[in-house]
Amino acid sequence: MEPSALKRSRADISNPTSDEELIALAKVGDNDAFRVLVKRYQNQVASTVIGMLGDSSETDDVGQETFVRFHRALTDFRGESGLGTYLTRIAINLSLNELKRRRRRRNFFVSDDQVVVENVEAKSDGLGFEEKEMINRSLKALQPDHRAVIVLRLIDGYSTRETAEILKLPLGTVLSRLARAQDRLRSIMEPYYRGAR
Amino acid sequence: MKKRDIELLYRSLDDDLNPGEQAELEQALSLSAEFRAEQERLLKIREGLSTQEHQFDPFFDARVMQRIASSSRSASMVNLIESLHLMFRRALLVGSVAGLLLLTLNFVDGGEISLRAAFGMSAQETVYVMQTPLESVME
Repeated sequence: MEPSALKRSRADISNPTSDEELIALAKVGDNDAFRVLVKRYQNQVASTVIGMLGDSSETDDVGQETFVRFHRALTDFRGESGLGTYLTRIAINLSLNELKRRRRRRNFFVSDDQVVVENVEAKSDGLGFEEKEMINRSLKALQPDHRAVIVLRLIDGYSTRETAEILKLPLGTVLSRLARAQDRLRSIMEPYYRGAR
Repeated sequence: MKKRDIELLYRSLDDDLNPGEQAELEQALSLSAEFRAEQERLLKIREGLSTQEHQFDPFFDARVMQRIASSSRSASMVNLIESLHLMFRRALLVGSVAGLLLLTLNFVDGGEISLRAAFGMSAQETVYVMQTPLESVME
């Protein structure tokens, strides 16, 4: 299992009640049961939202809204897809909307031009904090559609097929976006790696 | 580095390569140190992404529950306003129909549509009502 897939499966297991039982209780108004679901899935939603939006002031708001939307849709939730996938779908759509809003406001917190990778000290051995920071910065330079496939596939650890289902895209489109996004990441990171030699 | 090799490299990580493509990729890797370095960089980037740990600020669950509670309250208020709106709309509709019916009945009965006919007032009373300022009635 990939590390990110492991991360996804590492939901809060301190409460042995299954998702289905908690959802059934939440449907009849049990807020404590819903709260357990929030605790169980908040890190997974954080991974998607922060991956998409960066560590910005809106992430908490988008994360909260993800669970509020789920709460509103509780009666319609039939569990055809797993709860994690369902929440990820809401989170990714809300994040894409937030990115569109930012674009309209013309205040992207980072743009392609602002991605500076040369001035961070490069380390050739292992993945240090700086390298992860650089990767994060590079991620923010991707177009939202490309960022979404990278976040779902590589950060959240969904398979290519699951990523396609979440984004409601053909598999081929996901593969080509993944390739283009990784190509872009590679080219942004190139000066950093050149410095590490 | 050939574009085709890079394409195969990406696909090998996210999709299945057929045996011929797999062999092609392995050969390209064995022939080029630059391509192997490229593969290593790509794997590092992927590792960097897959090992990210993100969390919301503490007490996130409490904030969510608070937001749900406040959105439920505002939803109740919206429901109340909608109910009132619906109720008054019905009352207005019923009143209008009743007024129209009354005027029609008066017209059939008295052959005219007027305030006098509608309210069953005499001609003298109608003149008095029309000529008396509202302020003096209020006093």
